[in-house]
Amino acid sequence: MFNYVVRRVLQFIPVWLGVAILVFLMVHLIPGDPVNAMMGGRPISGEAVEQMRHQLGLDRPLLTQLVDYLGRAVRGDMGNSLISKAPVSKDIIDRFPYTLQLALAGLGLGIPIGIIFGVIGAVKRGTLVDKGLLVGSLVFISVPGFWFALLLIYVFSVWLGWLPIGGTGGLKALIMPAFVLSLGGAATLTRLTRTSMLEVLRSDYVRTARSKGLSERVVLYKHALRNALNPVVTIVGLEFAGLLGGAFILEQVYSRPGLGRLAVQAIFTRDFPMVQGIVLYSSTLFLLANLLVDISYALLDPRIRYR
Amino acid sequence: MKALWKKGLDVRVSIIGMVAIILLAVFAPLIAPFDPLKQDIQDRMQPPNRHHLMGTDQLGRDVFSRILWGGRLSLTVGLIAVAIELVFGIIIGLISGYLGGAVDNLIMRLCDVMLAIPGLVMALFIVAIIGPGLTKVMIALGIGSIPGVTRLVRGATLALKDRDYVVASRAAGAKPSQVMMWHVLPNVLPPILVLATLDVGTIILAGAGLSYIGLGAQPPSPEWGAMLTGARDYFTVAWWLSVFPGIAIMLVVLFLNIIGDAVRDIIDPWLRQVRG
Repeated sequence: MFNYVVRRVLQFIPVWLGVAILVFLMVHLIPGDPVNAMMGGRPISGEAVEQMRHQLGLDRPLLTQLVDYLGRAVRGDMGNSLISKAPVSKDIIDRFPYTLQLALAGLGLGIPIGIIFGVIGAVKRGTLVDKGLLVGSLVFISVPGFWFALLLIYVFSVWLGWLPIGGTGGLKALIMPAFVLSLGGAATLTRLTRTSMLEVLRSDYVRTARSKGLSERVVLYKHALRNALNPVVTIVGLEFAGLLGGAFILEQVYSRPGLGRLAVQAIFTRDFPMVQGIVLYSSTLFLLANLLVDISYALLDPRIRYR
Repeated sequence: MKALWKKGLDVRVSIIGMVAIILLAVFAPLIAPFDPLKQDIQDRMQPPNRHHLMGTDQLGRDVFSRILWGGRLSLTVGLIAVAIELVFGIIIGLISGYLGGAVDNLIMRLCDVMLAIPGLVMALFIVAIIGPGLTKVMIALGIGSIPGVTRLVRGATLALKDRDYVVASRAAGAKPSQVMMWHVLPNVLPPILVLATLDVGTIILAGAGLSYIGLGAQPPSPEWGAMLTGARDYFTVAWWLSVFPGIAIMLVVLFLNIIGDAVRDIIDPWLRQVRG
């Protein structure tokens, strides 16, 4: 187990470095002169351009810049905002909880919903319930979350007045966005759990368990579901990327001051260090989530550890 | 195609629906009863009626006409982005799988890195580099999906390159580019077709989302996501402004998902053969 964890962590490092290098290169990938792009076409004297270039370190050799950037990024320093001049990491850490709360709440709602419906679909295979769940899950994979969010605001905030339109007002303000965010993932998990469950239910050990006279309940939940969940666990890490992206967009609908709004703002104000920081930060998070999933997967399934 | 039609009622409905949507989008200039950008303040905020099938917006523009024209934009986003992902993904994937060695290693590590950035964040990152706008969003979403195709093509190429007919063609003196074009590519196309169909839907959804938050199509463009941005302020008094563009996006993506799933089911035995 220890070896597995070490190996997995060692795989994480080069990928993370790759992301950091890509993020670093961003400023150099901008077509034309980066300083001009940052100024957004505003007139600026040649002297000021040189000064800014120096400030951003763009006048040094590329490799020096890269080493410097990586060295700071490892310590969590992602430069200063071009707009507020404050460290980018401070803004990100301030806003980040709003995004993480939403993403985790979406995950927390989506996983049980998806697994429960997936099991129901598999058990009631071929019935109207199963078909309904299959069509329903496809609908929720296809529905634009930000649009569905608008409809829910209309029903629950404007019409019924039960929930706030948005903002940061505690748990009540989190219910609606978290629910909307969970739908896509829940729908994917429903389909995956159903398929995986159907496969497991055909296996020999389930037939053995049944023939031993175990109750259907024990067979389903103790024997089948536990094994059927293996592929489900692996997908959870990947789902996290979708949740993060979904949260970025839903923040606009529900006026949550999270990373997504910060990113959009930064793109419009051409605050490149801020964009770089947000990309690096959210990718690091995604990589860590996957690392965590892989390790817990190995804990759950002994076969993985020995591969 | 025949097998696809026989898959079930939902698949048939989706195919008919998708064909109808494509026709409506292509012939929008002929079908749309009004100019999608023409404002008519006298006639604004009309609920759906005989004259304006889906009502009018805050500037008196006909929502139905805007949806029709918007369909062209959304479908274009999906098609262009998928074209980008396919062209680059296939070429890079073939090279990676066929050449192997250091080149393959480098390309695969680059894919790992790109896939480590969550999809929407990747799109935001590219839009930040090349700037906002609908065309830029197409490019961003296309580039972001290249690694997925690359990996798939590489995997299939690896599985195929030691098959007898490929080896034979190599032995007969065919150049690597010829082998890839004539013997490997045709055999990797089916799974890519499935991925592409499903990706058109995903990309249309993402494009609408990016337009909604203001990074894609800009007003007064009738792009569906952008229409919803405008509708947000009025949705308590004019439900039709937000309901119809949303349904339009959902239907297109739903139809594409159903068709893509059905195609995958049909191709699956083949997939097993290539992978196995």
